[in-house]
Amino acid sequence: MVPSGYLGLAHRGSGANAVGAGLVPGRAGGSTAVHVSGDREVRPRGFFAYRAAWAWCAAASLLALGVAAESSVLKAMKSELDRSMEVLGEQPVPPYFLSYEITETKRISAGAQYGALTYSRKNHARMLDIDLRVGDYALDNTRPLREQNSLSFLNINLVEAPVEDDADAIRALLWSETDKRYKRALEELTTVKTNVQVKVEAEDKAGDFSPEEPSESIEVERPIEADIAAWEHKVERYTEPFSRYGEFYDGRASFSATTETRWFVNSDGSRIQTSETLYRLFVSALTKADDGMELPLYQSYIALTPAGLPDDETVERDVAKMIDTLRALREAPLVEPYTGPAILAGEASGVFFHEILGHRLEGHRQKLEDEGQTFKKLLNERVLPENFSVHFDPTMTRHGGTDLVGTYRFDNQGIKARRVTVIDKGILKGFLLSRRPIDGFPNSNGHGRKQAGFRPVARQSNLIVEVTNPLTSEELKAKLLAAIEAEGKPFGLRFEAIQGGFTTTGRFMPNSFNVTPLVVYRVYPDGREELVRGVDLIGTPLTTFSRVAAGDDQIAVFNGTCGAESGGVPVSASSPSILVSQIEVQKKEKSQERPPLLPAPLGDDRLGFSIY
Amino acid sequence: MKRIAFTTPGIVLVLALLPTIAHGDEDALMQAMRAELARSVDDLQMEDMDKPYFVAYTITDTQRLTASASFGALLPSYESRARGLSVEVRVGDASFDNTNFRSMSAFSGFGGGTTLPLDDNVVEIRRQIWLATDAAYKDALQQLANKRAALQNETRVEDLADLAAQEPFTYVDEPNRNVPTLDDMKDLVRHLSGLFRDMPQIADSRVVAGVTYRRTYYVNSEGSSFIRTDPAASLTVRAQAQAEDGTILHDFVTTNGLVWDDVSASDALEAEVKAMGMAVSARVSAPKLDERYTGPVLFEGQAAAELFAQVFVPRLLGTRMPDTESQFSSFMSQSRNPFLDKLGARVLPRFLNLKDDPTLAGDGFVGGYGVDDEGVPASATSLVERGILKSLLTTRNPVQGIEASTGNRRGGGPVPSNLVMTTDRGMAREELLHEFKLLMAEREAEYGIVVRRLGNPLFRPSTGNNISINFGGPAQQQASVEPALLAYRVYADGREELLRTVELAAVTDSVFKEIIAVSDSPTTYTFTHSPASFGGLGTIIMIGASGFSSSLHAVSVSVPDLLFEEMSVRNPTGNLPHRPVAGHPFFEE
Repeated sequence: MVPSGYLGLAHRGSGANAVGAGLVPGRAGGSTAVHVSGDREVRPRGFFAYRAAWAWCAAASLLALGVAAESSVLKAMKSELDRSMEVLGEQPVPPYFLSYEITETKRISAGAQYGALTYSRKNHARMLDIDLRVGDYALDNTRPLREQNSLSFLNINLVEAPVEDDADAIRALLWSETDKRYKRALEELTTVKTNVQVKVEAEDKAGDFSPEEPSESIEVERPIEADIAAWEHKVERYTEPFSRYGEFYDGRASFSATTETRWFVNSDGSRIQTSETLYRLFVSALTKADDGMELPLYQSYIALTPAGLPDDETVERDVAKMIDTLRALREAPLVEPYTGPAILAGEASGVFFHEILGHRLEGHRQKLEDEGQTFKKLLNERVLPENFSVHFDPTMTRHGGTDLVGTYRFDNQGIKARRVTVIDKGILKGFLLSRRPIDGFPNSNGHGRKQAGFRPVARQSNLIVEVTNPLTSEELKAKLLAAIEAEGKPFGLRFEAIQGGFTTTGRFMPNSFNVTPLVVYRVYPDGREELVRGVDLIGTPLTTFSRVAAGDDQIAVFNGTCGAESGGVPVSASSPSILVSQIEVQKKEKSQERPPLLPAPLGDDRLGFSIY
Repeated sequence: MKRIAFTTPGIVLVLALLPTIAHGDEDALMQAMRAELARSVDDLQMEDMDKPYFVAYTITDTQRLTASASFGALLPSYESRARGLSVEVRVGDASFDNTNFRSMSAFSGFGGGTTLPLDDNVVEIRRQIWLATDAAYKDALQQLANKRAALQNETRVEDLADLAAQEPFTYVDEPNRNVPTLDDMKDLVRHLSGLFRDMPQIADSRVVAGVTYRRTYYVNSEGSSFIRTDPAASLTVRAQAQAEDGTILHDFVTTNGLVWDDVSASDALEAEVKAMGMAVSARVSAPKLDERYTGPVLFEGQAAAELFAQVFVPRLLGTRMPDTESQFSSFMSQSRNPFLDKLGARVLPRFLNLKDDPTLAGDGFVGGYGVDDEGVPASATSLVERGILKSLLTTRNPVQGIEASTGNRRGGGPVPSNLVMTTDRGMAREELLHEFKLLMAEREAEYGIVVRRLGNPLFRPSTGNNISINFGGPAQQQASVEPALLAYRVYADGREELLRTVELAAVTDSVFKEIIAVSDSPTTYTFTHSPASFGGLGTIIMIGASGFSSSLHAVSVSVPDLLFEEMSVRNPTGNLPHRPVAGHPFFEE
C-alpha cells in the first residue's frame, strides 16, 4: 500500500480534520499514489492555546556577533554517529551508511474567528530522523518491495528528541534509536533480497543510493521576530467583519511564525546546521449556497521575513473583497460539465503545473513499477510549446514580488540545493532527484525532501514556469475569445483563485489530476465575464499538456504545502497566466446539508446585514 | 465551598431566570448556552418533523500543562487552554429516540465547529452553539429515521427507554484555579529523570508530569445546570532495562492528585523513584521461574489494586448495547458485558462488599465529583453486598435491570469514581501469611508466589514500534492482565526470592469468587480509566507513549491484600529481543 497524499484545503470542515479527511487510501498492495497540494491552514487543535506575550530571542546574541557557532547538538550527533559506525561496523552485516537529522521547530501562533480569539500558543519541539542502510549502494534495505503488502505507513517514525542541548541525553536517545533502526534494517534487507529474487527483473537498473560528496555548512539559528500579543489583536481585527453576517459559517484567521533549525550529520562526513524562518497569515471564510454547496474562499500571505507580510490596510481590503466575492458566489449560476478553451490565471496555472508535471517528474516515480511513469520515455522530446521552460529552483527566495516557501539550502539528505531545469524551450530535460538514482541519472540534484518523521523521496521545491516572448493580458484574452469563436463555443472559462489540487500517478487508478478552483468566470464571445460556481478542473496529463497554447507576462505565485509519501513539505509554484485550448470541468462535490433552520443569533443592530 | 440547590420539580425549563453567577466568563458562557437553549427548544423544527424533546449543552474550559524529561533533559512541554462545546439533541421521546443506534452511515453536517473563542464574546459563542445545534438536530432526525427503518422488521427483545428520567438539579462549585508554572514542573521532571544517570542498568526512562484545570458548564432543557471544577495532577516515572536473556523489564512510579502539590510535594518521591530503579536493576539478574506454577498467590498493595482494576472493574460498567443495522448485530453482541446477566448472582466471596462513592475526598481518593456529566447528583452506589452483585454503574442510558442513572456519566459512558472494597473478615498481616502457608502446605508446595507490583496498560515498556494496536474490549471473557513487576517466591520458612518477571495465565472475573482471605488494611490506589469501548467495537488504537487524552478519568480504588487459592503463573511467553549491539554511550565512556 502506498501511503497517499493528504492535504490542506482552505475551508472549514477540512482544516483540523485535514489529515483524516484528506487521506485517500491506496489500494492494498496496489499502485495508487495521490498527491495533493494546497494551502494548509494552521488550525487550532485544542492544545497549547495560551494567551501571553513572549517572543523567541535565543541566538540573538550570536546574530549580533555575526558568527555561526557549531551547536553542541551537532557535536553530540557527530560523536554518536562515529561510535555507532565503529561498533556496528564490527557486526557480520555492518551498516554502509548512517545519517542523523534533528529538526527543531519553534513556533508562535494565534487564531481568531469572527473577531474572537480562539487560541494563542507557543511550541518548541525537536524530532529525530535516522537513515541507516545495510547492504550496498546497489541494493539496500530501503528498496521498495514489489507486489507485497506491507505496513509501510508504520515506517513513519515520530521520535521526540530532548529540547535542551544536553549531549548525554541526546546521545542516549541516538544510541537506543540507532539500535532499533539497525535491527529493523537487517530484517528489511532479508525481505528485500528475497523480493528481488522472486520477482521479474526490474526495468530500472539503477541502484538504491547514490554516492555523494560530503557538505559542511553551519548557519546561525534565526530568531522569531513577532509580537504575539499584537498578532492576537490583528487576527481578531481581520476576522471581525465576518461576524456581521449570518450567512458566513466560518470566518477565521491564523497567524504563525516559525523557525525550523535542522542539524544533520552523516557517515560521508557531512555536518550541516541550517535555520529557516517562515511567517504566515491565513484568512478563510465559508458560506453556503441555497442548494447546499459550500463556498470557501481564503487569502494566504506567506513570507520568509516579517517584513514580507502585508499591513493591516491591505489585509482589511482583501477581507472586504472576500466578503463581496463570497456573497456574489452565493448568487452565482452553476456551470454544467464542459470542455473548451480556458485561461488559467497564474496561481491556478502554477498548481496545474505542480500537479500534472511536477509530481510526474519526481525521480522515484520513474522507477517504481506501480507508477504511471508518464514522462519517463519522453526525455529530450517536446512536451510544451517552444517558448515554455520549467525550472525547480530551491535557491530562489523571491519571484514576481512574492517570497517563495519552497526554498532551502540543503535538502533532507544533506545535499546542496540547486536549480534544476526540467523543461528547456519545450523539451523535457530532467527529473527531480533524491539520493535514490534512476537510469541515466546517477546522482541527487538536491530534491530529497520530507517532513520530520518520514523517509525522504524526491519532492518539488519552487516550480518556476517561464514564457519567452509572452503576450500581454489583453492579448491572451483576445486569443481566448478567438479560440471560443473558432470552436463555436458559447463561452470560455477563466480560473482565478484556486484552493489546491491533487493527482494520481499510479497505474491502478486513472492517471489524472484535479485542480479545485474557488473563483471561476464564464467569458462570453463579446468579452463579458460572469462569476460562476460549481466546477472542478480535471484531465489527464499528456492530453492536457498538449493543449497548452500561450502565456502572458503576469507572474503569480502559489505558496502551499504539498503532501505525499514523505509527508507535507512547503512548496511554491510560479507561473504567468496561460491559455489552454481545451480543458474539461466536472461538477464539484456538493454538501447535501441545508443551510441552518434558525437565523444566526446576531444582535439586533446587526440583523440588518443578514440575509435572513 | 459548594452551593447545591434543587430546582422546584415541575419547572421543565429554566432560562435566564436563574440567579447569575458572580464570574464574568461564567456569565458569558451560561448566558450564551441558555439563550441558544431557549431558541432550540422553542423554535428549532424542520417542517413536518419532530421538534427536539431534549437538548443539552456542555462547554469545557480546559487549561493543561505537560512537562516531560528523559535522562536529565527536557522533552517538549506543552501549555494550552481551549474551550470545547458538545451538543446533545434528542428527537422522538424518552422511550424511543435517535440514540442507542449505530449505523454505518457517516455523520453529516457542518462538522467540527466545536472550538469556542477564549474571549467571553456571547454573540460568537452563541454562533457556534447555533451551528452545532443545527447540525446535531438534522443528524438526530436522520438517525431516528434510520433506527426506525432498521427496527421495523424486528421485535426488540430488550424494551428499554432511551433516556432515564431525572429530577432537575442545579450545582455550582467555586472556581479554584491552582496551577503551577510550567517551569516548576520542568524543574521536577528534569531532576527526577536525572536520577537515572546513576543507574547503569536502566536503558530507557521517562518522567511525565501533567496538570489539568477544567471548568465544565452544563445546561439542559429539563432545567438542570451545573458549573463544576475538575482539577487533576499526575506524575509518572517510568524505567526499563533488559535482562541478559533479552527480557524487557520495566516499572513505574505514578502519583495522582487534584493539584500539583499533591503529586510533587512528597519528600518520599525521590526515594521512591530510586527504589523503583534499583528494583528494576535487581531484576536484571534475578532468576526466572523454573516451570509453570499453579497454586496459591497473594496479591499485596498495588498489585491487588491493579488486578482488581484490570479484571473486575470493567465488568462494573452498565454499558448499553445499541441497536444496529441487522448485519452488525452479531458483531455488537460479542461485546456485551457478562455482568449484565449476573445481577443478583455471586461475583465475590460472601465476606466482601463493594461500593462506588464519588462523594469521598482526601485519604488518597481523587475520583470524586459533585455532579456527573449529565447533571445527575453524585451519590454512593452499593455494587456488591455480601458477595452478591446488586447494581452496575450507569448513566441516563438505562440497561436491563437498572433503569435509573447511578450518576456515573464521565465522558462517553459510565466510569467509576472511588471504588471501596470492604470486609468484615479482614486479617492482620501475620494471620494472612499464616493462611497463605496453610494453602501451600495443603498442596505440599515448596513455595508460594507473592505479587507486590503489577504492570499497568498505560505504562507498558516501549518496544521498537511507536504504534501499538490493542484488540479486544472489556467484555471478552478472559481479561488480559499486565505482567507482574515485582513477584517473589516465598518459602515455608518465610524466605523471599525476587523473580525476574512473571505473567498470570488465564485470569477471569470468576477468579474473584475464589478469594480465600483478605487483609484488614486496604491500599488506596489511583489509576487512569480508559474509555470502556468505542461504540462497542472494542478496538482502541493508542499512538505514542506520552500522549494524553482528555477522555481519560482518574479512578481511585481501595482494596485489601487478596489471597487466591489457585492461580497459574508462568514466565512471559513470546520471543525475546536481542540486547543492544553497542553499550549505553553515557555508562560506557
